[in-house]
Amino acid sequence: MRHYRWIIGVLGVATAGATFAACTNQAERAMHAQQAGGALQASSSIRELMRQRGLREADVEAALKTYVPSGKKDDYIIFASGGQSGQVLVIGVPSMRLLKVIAVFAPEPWQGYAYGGESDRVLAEGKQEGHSITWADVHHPNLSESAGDYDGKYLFVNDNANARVAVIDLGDFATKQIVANPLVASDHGGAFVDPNTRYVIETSQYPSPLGREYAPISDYKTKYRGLAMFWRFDREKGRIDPSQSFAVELPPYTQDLADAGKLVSDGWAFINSFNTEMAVGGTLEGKPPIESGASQNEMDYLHVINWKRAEELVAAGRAQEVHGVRVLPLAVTAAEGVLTLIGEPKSPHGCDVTPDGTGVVVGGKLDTHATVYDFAKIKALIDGKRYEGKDEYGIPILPFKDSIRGQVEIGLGPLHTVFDDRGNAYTSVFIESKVAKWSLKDLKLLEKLPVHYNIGHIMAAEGDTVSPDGKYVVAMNKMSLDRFTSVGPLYPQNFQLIDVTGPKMRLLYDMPIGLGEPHYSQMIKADKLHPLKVYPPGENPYTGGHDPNAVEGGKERIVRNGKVVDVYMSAVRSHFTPDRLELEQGDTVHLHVTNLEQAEDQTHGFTIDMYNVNLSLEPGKHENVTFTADVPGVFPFYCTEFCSALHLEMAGYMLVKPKAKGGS
Amino acid sequence: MSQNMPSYPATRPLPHAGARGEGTARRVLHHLPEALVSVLAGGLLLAAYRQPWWSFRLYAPQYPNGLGVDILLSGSRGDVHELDTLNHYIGMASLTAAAPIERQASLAVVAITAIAVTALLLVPRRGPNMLAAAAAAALPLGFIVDFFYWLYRFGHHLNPHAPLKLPPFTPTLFGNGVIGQFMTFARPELGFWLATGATCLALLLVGLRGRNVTRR
Repeated sequence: MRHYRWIIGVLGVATAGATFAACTNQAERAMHAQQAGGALQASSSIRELMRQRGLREADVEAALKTYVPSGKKDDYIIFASGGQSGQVLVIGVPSMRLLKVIAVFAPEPWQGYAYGGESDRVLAEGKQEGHSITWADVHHPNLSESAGDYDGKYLFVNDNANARVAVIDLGDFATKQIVANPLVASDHGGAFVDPNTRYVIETSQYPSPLGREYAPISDYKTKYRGLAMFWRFDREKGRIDPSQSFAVELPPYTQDLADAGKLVSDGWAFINSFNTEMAVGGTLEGKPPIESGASQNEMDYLHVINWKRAEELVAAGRAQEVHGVRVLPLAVTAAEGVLTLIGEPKSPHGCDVTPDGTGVVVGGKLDTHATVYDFAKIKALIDGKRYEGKDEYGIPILPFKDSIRGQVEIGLGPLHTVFDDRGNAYTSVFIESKVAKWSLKDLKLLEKLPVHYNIGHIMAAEGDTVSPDGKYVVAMNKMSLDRFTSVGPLYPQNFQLIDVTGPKMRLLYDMPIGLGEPHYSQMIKADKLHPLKVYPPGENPYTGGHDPNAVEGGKERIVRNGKVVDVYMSAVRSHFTPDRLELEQGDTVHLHVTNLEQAEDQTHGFTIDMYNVNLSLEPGKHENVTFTADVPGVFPFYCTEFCSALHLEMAGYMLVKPKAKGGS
Repeated sequence: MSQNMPSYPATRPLPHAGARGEGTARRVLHHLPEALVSVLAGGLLLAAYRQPWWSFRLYAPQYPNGLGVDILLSGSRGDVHELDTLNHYIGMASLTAAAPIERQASLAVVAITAIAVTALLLVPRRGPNMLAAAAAAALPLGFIVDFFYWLYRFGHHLNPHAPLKLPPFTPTLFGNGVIGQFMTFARPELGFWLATGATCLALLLVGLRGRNVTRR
């Protein structure tokens, strides 16, 4: 029996230990339960609230469908053009909360974008002919795709005004590259990607002599040209590789919007165009303005480009180099079946490939239809060389009637079309201020929903991929008129969130956009995005690796080499090390700052008086700044993020001793 | 050691065995459980080396998921960098500076103890067995004492130039505490329990062998 006592004793010790452990666990759990929040006592009934606020049932339903309580997250993320702001907006859906404004083409102080740090180089890449451009007319954000579906890795966006394309890495939501197109002066048809993001497609808008040369307007037909640029995207490097890119020369029609084929039409690109009249204005000479000159023809041309063929021809050396870009000349494009034209109804707009890749939908600003082109028919006509004729540049034209599946009578001013997961298409109807829902299957109009007002682009959840999600459509309205409290004569634009899950479309939410006129946007399922929370220690986000000048804690130093001073500085709550810089007037200062933090959201800023420097130092990030201490004096520097209780104490002095006057 | 090994059947007849001299296989089978327990006790100690022995979790409004630091015999891991950053406000030294000698020696100490415990338990005598239990128990007990010492030392050697001046204190070793905006939870972890388990196994073996083993 004696050994049972031992067993009981041992068990007793174990039980006591386990009980103790359970107690601390329980205390911790109790704390979590408390944090989860208690039940809210409804102070008044819903009916009473509705009466007080004058809400209808539909309003309450919309509120319930969009409200995202504190701490809960949105299901979808919109990447929207920021229009003239030059930036990209990140918006949560269904809450329509603005999550971030990604700095792209314009300096942005909060993100320290182009305020003295490494990102200066990104913006400098966007120079045209040596001219710095610090804004953009941001048009079309496009997410990178793998097998025709958003992969959540990169975002591309074009600057219509200055013919540039930017690459945004969704690992840190930062702009990594701007490529300036050296050949053209504007680019409306960008930045569209093929289903595997081999190319980022950028097509020109207003024809001009390629390579930004001079040619009199009388030489419009002979010297002015359009262009389809195929920027090769190097996914491994996360950058566009201009040396592997090429362009296809186009006739001087005003190419408008573009889209890449998918599935059966992969390898093809489609661009609509207007001004096939090639009107050039001349109002002072009594000629019609472009607006009327460009609206004479009943039909313009849908451009069909076989980019795989173009790629082969470029590889075979058929391209000519213009300003370092391999350009497939118009003669080759016309002769080798790279480019084919098809008529499209008057003043077309929008060019959207259907999710299954079998059709292309084109709207018409001055036509009431959405025209659905049939890729199989187009392909058969091209293969059989069954052309209706050729344009004056020798480019074959396919017969319109034989190229289409049909037309849907939409209304006044149908523009862009997006798709859901149930075979429906949604077309923005600009002049009528409506969204038209129609069936792709039988090309029948189903419903129209008024929007407010002058809808331009329209966008659906993953609506331009091979597998749209349905659920939401967003109307991107150019005018808001009476929708918001007046804020002066410059009105915000209006994003309207529409629920498309039911048999009838329901308007859910109005979001004012108060920093530019957005064009296109795309919506991705939030769980496809996996951004970094902190940078690895010493990361330079603009070179994409550990910076050779990164500073480790304890290794901060100042190294003087004649008139050049390298400062290796660290930032961590709540101090910079070193915190005193003793300089002499005329010294060149290379400041290398690393944020040593690895805690989420523990960002520091760095600014120094008068030097127009502001850095955003997210955890782990490293920045390099160079300036000349040309003015003697005392310059405080400090952390511009409220990083901690002792944030204001996170400061130091740069002392610049004046040059000795009259000395040697 | 082998000459000290008594012949098992002499001291402890097999419950269902017939006459002496039955097959060695039978004997081995009979003593296998005890041998396994002996090896297991040493094994638990070895396993404990790679596991955290203690943990701190801290919660504050701006740390909704908490900060966690695991204390292993070889050092600490988890949000050490962040805890150090926070601790510098009260002038506390970096956790990485704690117990340098202990951390260096820990692997050797655990390995030697584990081997010794197994070896001593294989001897079917109370004396060596109790020694084994004591050796196994010395690890968790020694850990707690040393750990407490370092907590005391850290809390009583604060940098006098720190922004926040606190009177000397010893961070809570067991259970819950409140420091500023932080709620803290400290508790033993798997490594500690494995070592304690090894001690229990040693004691269990002593108990099971009862009086049937030679008292010497």
